[in-house]
Amino acid sequence: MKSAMMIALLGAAAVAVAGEDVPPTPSMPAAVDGLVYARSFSLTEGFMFDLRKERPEVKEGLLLVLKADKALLVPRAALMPVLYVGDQTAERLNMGDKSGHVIAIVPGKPDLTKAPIWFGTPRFPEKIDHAVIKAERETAEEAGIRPLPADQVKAALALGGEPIKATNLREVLRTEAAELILKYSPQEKHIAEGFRVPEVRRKTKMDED
Amino acid sequence: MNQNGVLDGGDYLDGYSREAGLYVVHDTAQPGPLDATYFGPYSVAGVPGVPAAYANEVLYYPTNIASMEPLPLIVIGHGSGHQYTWYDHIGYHMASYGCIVISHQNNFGGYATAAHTRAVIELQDSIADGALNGKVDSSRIIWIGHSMGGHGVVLAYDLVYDGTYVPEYYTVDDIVLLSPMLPIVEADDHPHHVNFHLWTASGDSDVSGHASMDYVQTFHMHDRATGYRMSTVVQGTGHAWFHDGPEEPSWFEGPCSIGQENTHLIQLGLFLPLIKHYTEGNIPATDFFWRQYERFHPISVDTVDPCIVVTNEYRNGSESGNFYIDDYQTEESLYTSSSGGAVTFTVENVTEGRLDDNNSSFTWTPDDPFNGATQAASYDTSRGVVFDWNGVDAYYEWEVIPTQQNFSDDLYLSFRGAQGTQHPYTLAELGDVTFAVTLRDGSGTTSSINIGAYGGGLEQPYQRQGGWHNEMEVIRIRLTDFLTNGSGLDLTEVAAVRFDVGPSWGSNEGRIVVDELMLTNNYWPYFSPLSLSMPAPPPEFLPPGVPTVIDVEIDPGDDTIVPGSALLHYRYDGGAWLDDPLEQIGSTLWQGTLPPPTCDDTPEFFFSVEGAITGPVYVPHGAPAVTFVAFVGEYISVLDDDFEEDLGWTVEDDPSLMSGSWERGVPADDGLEGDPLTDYDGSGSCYLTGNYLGNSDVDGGPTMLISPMVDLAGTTNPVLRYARWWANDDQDSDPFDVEVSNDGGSTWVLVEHVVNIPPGWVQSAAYVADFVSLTAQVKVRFSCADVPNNSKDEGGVDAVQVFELVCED
Repeated sequence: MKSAMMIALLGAAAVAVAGEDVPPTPSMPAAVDGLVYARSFSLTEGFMFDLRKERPEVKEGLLLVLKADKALLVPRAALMPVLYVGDQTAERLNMGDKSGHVIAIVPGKPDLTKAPIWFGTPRFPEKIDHAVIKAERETAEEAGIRPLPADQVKAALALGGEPIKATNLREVLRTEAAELILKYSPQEKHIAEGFRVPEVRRKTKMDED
Repeated sequence: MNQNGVLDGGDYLDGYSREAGLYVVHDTAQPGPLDATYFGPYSVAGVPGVPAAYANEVLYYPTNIASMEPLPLIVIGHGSGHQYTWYDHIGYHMASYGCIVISHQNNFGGYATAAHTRAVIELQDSIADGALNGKVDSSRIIWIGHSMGGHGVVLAYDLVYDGTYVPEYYTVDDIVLLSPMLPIVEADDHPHHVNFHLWTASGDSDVSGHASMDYVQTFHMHDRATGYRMSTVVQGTGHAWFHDGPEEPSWFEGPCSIGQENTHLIQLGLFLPLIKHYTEGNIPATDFFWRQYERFHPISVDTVDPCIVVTNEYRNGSESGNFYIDDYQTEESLYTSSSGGAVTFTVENVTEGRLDDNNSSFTWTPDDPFNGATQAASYDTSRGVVFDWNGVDAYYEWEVIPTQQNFSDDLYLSFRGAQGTQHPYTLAELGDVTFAVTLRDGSGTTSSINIGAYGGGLEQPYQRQGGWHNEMEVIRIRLTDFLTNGSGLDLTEVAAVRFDVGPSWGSNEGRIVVDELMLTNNYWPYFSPLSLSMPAPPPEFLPPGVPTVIDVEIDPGDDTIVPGSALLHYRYDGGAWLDDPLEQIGSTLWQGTLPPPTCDDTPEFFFSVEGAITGPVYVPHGAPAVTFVAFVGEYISVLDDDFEEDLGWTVEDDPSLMSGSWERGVPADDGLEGDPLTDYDGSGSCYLTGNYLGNSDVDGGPTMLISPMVDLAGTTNPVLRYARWWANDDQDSDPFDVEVSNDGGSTWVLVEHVVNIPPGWVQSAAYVADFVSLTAQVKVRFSCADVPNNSKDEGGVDAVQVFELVCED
């Protein structure tokens, strides 16, 4: 009953396409534009890395700041392009669509002079295993994506400085990662602030006393 | 008061029991009576499993929680590109009705939702200065997810369900509702048996439902749910309007925008009854699940606005109290329902199949009969039927199998249906499609109700670029509505359900998809209905002249027995039924007493009891159409063959028989051709027409199974009893005949001619002397044929007995 009336209204009402200012997803694979910053970290307490089907426990990794095409970084409700670094998936800590900078965590210590960095096919992250990564890397290399220039990597590592030694990832996020977001993607200040909200811990006997 | 359907006696409202007739429901879209408190954001990073980069939560709870009993916990997971702080509208709303709500940071892999749920339970003595301490009811958890978060909550449930994630402080059974909003759908996302509700936005340009991409077809998730399940489709709204973050980009495209505010009213107005139903068993809440939205909706949702169009699909998932007349999941023939009854029709272009648009476009083409259907992907199994009509009256009718013809013990007739998107008849009839649902009883009396009588029909698909995905909608009709206006319909013996379509009945033309025609008692989750059973098989032989006491078990479950409703029904002469009350002799043990029969009697009997909610329950199921039958006298066996050994039966085939000759053995086929999967009596073996895997049915024939000689000389009134199976897929009157001979097989007399019945074992009996005089050369013959050879026919015989009854009054 409603629809007949609704159709009648169409003549007067403009058809809204509110998502029209959202750029289409570029074709994949797509290389990042550059590496700005790289710093290794090691943790006393590991964390489970959710962006791999295998969910490895990670105790060391790299903290990166990458430049990329903003169209690649636009938040989409549907599946997003997956960021790869060599034979690993990387966990983005921000969107970066306003700044063009992505701050990301990579498990392990890949040699960035040998590891291409690119965005691959949009996928469910929990489905990405070693075989998927291998296939995506082959596709990327066939598309001409190569590791970033050695001097760029060297400069990024130099900017990163000494490795971080932290108790856990939360400490890395609260300190260095938060600062990187504020510096390279200040439009996403709320993410940095989010890393620093108070942590609730279980009350201990001492607390009660 | 007296539950007689008439406003009399002490009634304030009239009705037929089982439920009250009137509920007062306030505006479910408006805040509730409790003040709500917000707390956060805070991090729970220290709890195992919580992703370090996604460790934050915000919390909403009733301000006076300290004085309240433990409350349900709602956990919300946001979507990709969304923020966990964008769900204030749900948080405050549900807290104002007595729920604890958290919204958490999300990385969508399922572990986040599972671990954040653990965190709020584990840290209840610390979060918000311990305000939640002792107030989290961890046995009532609701998971809501948006977009990738919708995928996340289903994935989280699956992780807990299969033991991949073993939660602390709660179990899989404590998740009482999943409600993904506009979810991304993965091929193996499976809600299993959890109570499930799905939101879909017809104007969503992101999770768009597009024909070419399975992962944005939200309905896949719904149709994989095996328990209570519901789907709500909102037209005129986009992806971003289900949160209360920025309205732009809205991810909306299409006509007739309703905006974020209206979307929230619709959303909140349904979340309240959903959550109240699944956490508290609130009964009137279910009306929001299935009634036509035009007629029944939250008060502040302005349905005068023609752009506000909402459709609901709801299937009661109780393991008892439901019966599918046809869910199209089995019996792929157009002419047989999944329950085994015949299907007949005069509507056109009837096709059964998977509910899956078979190409990458929603443009109508004749080679894509399920155009617009996105309930299933190529790897899913949801099936239904489509058909159309144009300018002339036509029908689509289901025969109701005999054991299910008593509709008086059910509450609703229900089905789901949708208009076929972009079909010329859909476009020609812009608006709801209506038609009549007709019941016909055993004496031919009919009663018809137009589905539009309840406020609307099957909704027009959203006119996004000319028509988008099919929007399934449930139509429920209260069965007692068919009794109005003195219809005279006998609900205890409904022979057929029919859709009457065409200009005399509703829309002039239409193209619709139909599925899940069912009877339902609408039992709510966790409700254990009253049950009636027999602790021992009923007596087959009654001694003459003495009463017979029979035990029955009545377990009230969560229900209460209507006083005086526990009855033994009997008749000895095929006439009117007589009733005697059952006597309670233990907590669940009751007894009925059959009066003394005479040798000439043919006793039939059944039992019934009524639960205040369950309604009437019968043993045997389907009574009085199906009853227990007893013989009067002492049993003396002449022949008793369970076919475990060869007692000398022979097989003779007509030369025209091509396949399907009688064979003795344990059933070997898979049932796909209509053959039985097991024998009748549980001994293992029986006789079957072609007992091998594959195409084993009868072609040509007949094939004849002949008994060894039976000496009935000197007997007085012997009984022939046997179990038979006959499946004839297209119901074209292929025969299964039973005959007797008293001259060793020279001549035969027909005892029973069986045609056009649903597949299944049926026990049958006859007095031999009614057909032939009793000699020492009696034989029995079972014959079946497929002539002309155009059907899939499968026969079976088991448990053949000839016995004498010795009876003296």
